Amino acid sequence: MSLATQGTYGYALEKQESQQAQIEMTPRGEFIWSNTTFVIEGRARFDEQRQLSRTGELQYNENSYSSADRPAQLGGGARIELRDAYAEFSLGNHLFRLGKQQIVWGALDGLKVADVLNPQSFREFILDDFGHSRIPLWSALADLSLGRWRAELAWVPQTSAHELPGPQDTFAFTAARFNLGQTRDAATGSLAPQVTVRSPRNKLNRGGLRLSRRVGPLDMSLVAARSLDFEPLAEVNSGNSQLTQTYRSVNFYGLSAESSVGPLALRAEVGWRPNRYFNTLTPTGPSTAKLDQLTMAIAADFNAPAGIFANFQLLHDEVRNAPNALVRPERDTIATVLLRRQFRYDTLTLDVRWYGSLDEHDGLGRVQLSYAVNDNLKVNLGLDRFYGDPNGLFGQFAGADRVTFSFTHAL
Amino acid sequence: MFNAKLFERITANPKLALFVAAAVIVAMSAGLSQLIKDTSIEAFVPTDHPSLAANNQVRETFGLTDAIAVAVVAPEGTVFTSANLNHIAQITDFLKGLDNLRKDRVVSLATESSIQGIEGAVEVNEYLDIDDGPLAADQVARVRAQWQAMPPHQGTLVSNDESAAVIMGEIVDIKEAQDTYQQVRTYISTLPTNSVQFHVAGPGAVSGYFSAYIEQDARKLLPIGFALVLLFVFLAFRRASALTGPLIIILSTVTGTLGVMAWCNVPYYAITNALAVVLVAIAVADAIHVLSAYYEARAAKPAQSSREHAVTAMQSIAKPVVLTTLTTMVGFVGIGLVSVMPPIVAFAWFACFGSALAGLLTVLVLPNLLAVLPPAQSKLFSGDLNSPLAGTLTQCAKLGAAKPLLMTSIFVVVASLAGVGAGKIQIDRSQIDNFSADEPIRIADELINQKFAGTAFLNLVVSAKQDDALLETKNMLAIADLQHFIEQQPHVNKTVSIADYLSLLDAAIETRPISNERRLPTAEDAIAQYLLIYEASGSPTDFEEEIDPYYSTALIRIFLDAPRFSDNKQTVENIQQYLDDNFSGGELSATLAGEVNLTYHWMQQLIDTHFTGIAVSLALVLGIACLMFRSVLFGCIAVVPVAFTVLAIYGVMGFTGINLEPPTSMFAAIAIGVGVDFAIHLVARLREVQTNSEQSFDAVLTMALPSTARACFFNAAALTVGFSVLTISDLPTLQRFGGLISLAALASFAASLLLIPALFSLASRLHQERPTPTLRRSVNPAAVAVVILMVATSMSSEPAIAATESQLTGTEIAERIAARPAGKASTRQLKMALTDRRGRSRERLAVVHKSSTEQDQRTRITYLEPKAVRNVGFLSHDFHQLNKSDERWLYMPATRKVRRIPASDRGDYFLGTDFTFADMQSELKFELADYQFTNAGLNGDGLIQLTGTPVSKSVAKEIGYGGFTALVDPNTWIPMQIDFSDRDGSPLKTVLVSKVENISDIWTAQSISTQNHQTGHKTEFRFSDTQYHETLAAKLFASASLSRGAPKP
Repeated sequence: MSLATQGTYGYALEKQESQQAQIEMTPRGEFIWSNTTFVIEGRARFDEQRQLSRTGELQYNENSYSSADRPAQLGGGARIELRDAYAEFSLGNHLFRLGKQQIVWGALDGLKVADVLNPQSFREFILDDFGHSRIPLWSALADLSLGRWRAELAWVPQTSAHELPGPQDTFAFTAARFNLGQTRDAATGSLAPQVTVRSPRNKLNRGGLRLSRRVGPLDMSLVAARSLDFEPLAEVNSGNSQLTQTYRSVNFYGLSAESSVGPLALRAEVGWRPNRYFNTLTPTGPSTAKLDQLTMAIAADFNAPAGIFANFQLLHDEVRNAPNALVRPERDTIATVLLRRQFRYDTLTLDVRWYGSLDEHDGLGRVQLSYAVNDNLKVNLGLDRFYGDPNGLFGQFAGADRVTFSFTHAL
Repeated sequence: MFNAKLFERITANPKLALFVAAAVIVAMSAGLSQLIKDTSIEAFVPTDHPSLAANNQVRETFGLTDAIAVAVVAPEGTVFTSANLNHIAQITDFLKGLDNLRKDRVVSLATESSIQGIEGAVEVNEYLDIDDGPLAADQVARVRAQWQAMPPHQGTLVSNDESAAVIMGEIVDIKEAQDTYQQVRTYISTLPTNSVQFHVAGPGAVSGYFSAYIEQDARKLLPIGFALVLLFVFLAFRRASALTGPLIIILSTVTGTLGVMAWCNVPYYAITNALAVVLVAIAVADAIHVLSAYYEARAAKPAQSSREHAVTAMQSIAKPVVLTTLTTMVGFVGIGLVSVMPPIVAFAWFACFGSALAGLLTVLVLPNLLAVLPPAQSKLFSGDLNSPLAGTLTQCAKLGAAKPLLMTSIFVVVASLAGVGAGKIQIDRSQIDNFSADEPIRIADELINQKFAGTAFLNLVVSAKQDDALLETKNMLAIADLQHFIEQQPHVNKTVSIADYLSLLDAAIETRPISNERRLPTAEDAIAQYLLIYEASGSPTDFEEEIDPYYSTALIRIFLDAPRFSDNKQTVENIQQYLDDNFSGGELSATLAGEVNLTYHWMQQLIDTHFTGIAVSLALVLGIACLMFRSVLFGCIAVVPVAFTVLAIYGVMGFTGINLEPPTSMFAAIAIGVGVDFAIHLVARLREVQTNSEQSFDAVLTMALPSTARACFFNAAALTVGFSVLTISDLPTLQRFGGLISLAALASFAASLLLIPALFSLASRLHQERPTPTLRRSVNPAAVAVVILMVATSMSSEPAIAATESQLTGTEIAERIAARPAGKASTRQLKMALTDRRGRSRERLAVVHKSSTEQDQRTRITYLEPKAVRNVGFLSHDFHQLNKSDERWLYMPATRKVRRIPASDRGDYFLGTDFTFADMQSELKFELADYQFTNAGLNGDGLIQLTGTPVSKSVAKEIGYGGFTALVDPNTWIPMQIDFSDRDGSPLKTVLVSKVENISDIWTAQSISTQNHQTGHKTEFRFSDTQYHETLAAKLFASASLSRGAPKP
């Protein structure tokens, strides 16, 4: 049994007011019976400020969750949810895991290419750790060791989509690319045209296969998956020309490779989504188009002099043969840099991160200082600073600059 | 009673009122300059208790006082070497020179004498003289032979296996023990440590160390507690100016209470640190309620003056503040009435006083402060009070009201489980448990217990009614029989009395061989004559610790190797029974004394009084609640949540193995006094709204709870945060106390919020009517710790001949070390302790798998503890081929990803330890290509001194060392000590191997530590469950398996 408690206080620099005063408790139990391990983990969160979810913790997103597995809302700023609930057992060299879980197939840091089986909460955009914000789903995983090959078979019948911020929330997506080509007014939160929301539905034909093996110095993986497209799509109703927010399925094919040479570790991921639906905006109004999407990323970890750990990532995402009416940009090129230095026998860690869009010339700078008071208690001080065009991927959050103080306690 | 007129009078002249209050507080606080400190164990026993009187008798008659013990340990050898005996002489000389140690009561091989019989004559010879300087080999042999002929000195001056010796110095003034301990530690650190270790322990050292702990704690806890509590007040009101009132109330309460304590000549005990923190938490709780009421009044009538707002607020809040102050005081009164231990009695009464002072200041001073220094407007109170927090709390309360039977059943089930846990509680303690497992004092204590007869003492005083009675043989035989009985008891390793020396004299005179069996002379007057013979060659004061000058009182020293109450309880009771049966009413009487006896008696008092104290506290609180509500039913409803909380905390203690000991025993009474406040606020508020409303209970909750529950929440949060500060205390016992009391505050609040609406609902159903109200008013809380390999070393035992080794070249020695086999594959558990220069320690438990082939060495480390890093996995494939890069993977459960990580430089420090990657891979071997080796000959302990100098500057830069000097055991080819220097030639760190075992015919280092001299940081690796295998499954070392957690055994 364990209990992790995290308290976070955030202060918005531009608005000069508290942004977040949150306490989060994550109890976790692991029970072993014979050859089977049962894991259950819950999470209770209360944010006294509600700036990150002014619309209500789940009010805006209640339709993005599968109706069978929606977190519970208590009052305006609190929610309780089941995170993990699975049984894991081994048969020979093979491992099986059944239940609510996260299946993670990508290895990038703060970016996603092959990590396609679980949706994400964007309550804090990408500032929250992905393991923390990834939404677990009811699914089955078979991890098979077949000689030099490793095969992971996942079946994900349950469907939930990304949890997106509400229109008045601090990290609301206001850029035109997310709002059918219109910049949303963050103050009023009005979204035109109005849309009705249709929940994603559970389907039995969703899942994936990842095959991995070592080829010379490379750790290679091939991924094929069919999953829900976690990003909502606005579709015109044929009958009344109103818009409906829907979710469609999408196929994904990917390849990843990792290796290391001395103080350098390298990794690359490539993903291909054929016939994915995207929103377009034509003179007659919003519409959709089926297009192919290619995503590529390369990354390098480097142990630099003076004890500095450096991580560089470059991601290129492109919609092939994109029409002019495409709502989102035809391509996104994002670079990230992380510099980390640890002091005092790894008890004090300084992280300096930069995320930047090379196309839209906006970005995000993060500085975090964390101190491990003891084995169980860690305190963090952070600064998040957005810059650039208010209509850009990062620049849209320019008003969300903040200083955070948090602690994490493990019992 | 608390009407507007009263508070108008109180605030009629605010500045004058504040001036008078400040004068009173200053007068009370002035006592702080008189504060005295008492951290001794004796402080816990009432001054008139017989066990304390017995201790005083021992002190007066035999001069025994608490002692500091310095142990000289030669881990793999003997203390009977010229160098070690010289150390003993030097340390003895140093201790004799310390002002706070009694020169005549420093005891060691350098001060004591042996008794020998030569041709019927008795010879008393000193072992060695301080001024002798280093002894020759034959002199060393002579000292050893003397010691072997002295059973009373075996296991006391020198351990039975000869690997350790002790120097004891008795303390003059225990209050100065802290400085003395530091002086000894400083001196010890200057001594050369070639193959010998020095440790400082003993009751005097413990007391000294304890004092230092308390000072550090007090310096650390109060400011942090203050800051956290003020932060919470700020969060509750979001106005810095709102902090002024609480700040003044807290400061006045704490300084005033401690000042009065000092004026009353009550010492500052170890647990008084907790008192200050408890008072901070209590004082701020009242202030939060008053400020909430003040802001509400201000929001309701903004046009009024600040004084009028204060009067309105006090009119509504004074009664609950007074009542909850009373219940808090009652909780402490319960302890004060029942406990007999002075520190706990003092804690209880002064906490009671402090609660009263906080209540008085809140009612009398805070409204004047608000009138003179009005805080800025808080937008939180500018309109709707239904904040998200209040909404959430109300929803939670409604859960209980909607399903009262279910909610009550859940609590009954949890209470039943807690009852099971409570049944497992152990009542136990040891002074040494007050120190973390990695503290030098605790390590020293355990080592001395292991090597010597023990560091826990019982003293037994045998008294005769007449002078010279103990010179009679029958009485001396009774003492010898008593010793024999005691030596059969658990954990008793040795007893020493005058009978042992008489037995030696008898053997010397009768030319009998020396034995452990006590044989006393039987002839009349023989004892008196033996003592006369002794005085002919020995000093007349040699036996002053064993028998008084009138031969009417003798002392038996009993050495026990277990410090805990539970270990020694049976022994004390058995001895007492023997004394009652054989030393009662006759010519001889006997009394037990000593630290173990004291601990036995005060722990016995705890057992006798603890649960009575809780019952008294609960009964008092129940009585007050019933009176307050004028209803037994609602009195019981108010007490149920806190009774549940107390049971739950007992359950937690039982399941987690937290012992019931004096500090932790106080949690229950405090929890009752403080925790019942929430229930009282909630019950009073619910009844008030019910009285004035005809609506459904759900609507009553909606109206009643938001403001009250919010205030209770901040009250509970302030208490939790305030008490949780104790968890960062350096004293483990205070950490446990702080954790329990924080948990109790939270649990009381949660139980009140969920249970009280449920019980109201049930009560309504049972009575088929709404409860009748009677009260009118009431009112409102992974680190990226990765890693470590380090696999111990091994070697087939190839006995070597010393002469041959001394002829080997340095390179040949390094080759032999490198050729030492380490097994093809191994599994073991690794316990790591990383300690910084301030003594704060982090511990890790991991399982290490290792496999070596001709191509590579594979190491997998999977973390098991602490929970923050559980299942973190590190895998490395280190290739022997020079131009092939090593490969490493890391699995972090938090990210659920296995990632390839870059290899580090050999000289980089291995995440958070004092070992470099090169150290990790080397397994205590030296890379032959890195160094030029020199054989510097054998040292005094027969270890080879091997030095290494990097072959080039670039290699030195790569490995991070400027050279090393190692002491290599030629029997195992394991370097027992390696002193590394940095590239500038300054001492960098020392690696010490303190435990080597032969496992499956492979010599294995099981305990390795590294002390970095430049940072003061220390890393210790202790291996256990080591097993060697021919091979391990390849899948264990596949990166894919890392995500599956710790391999199943």
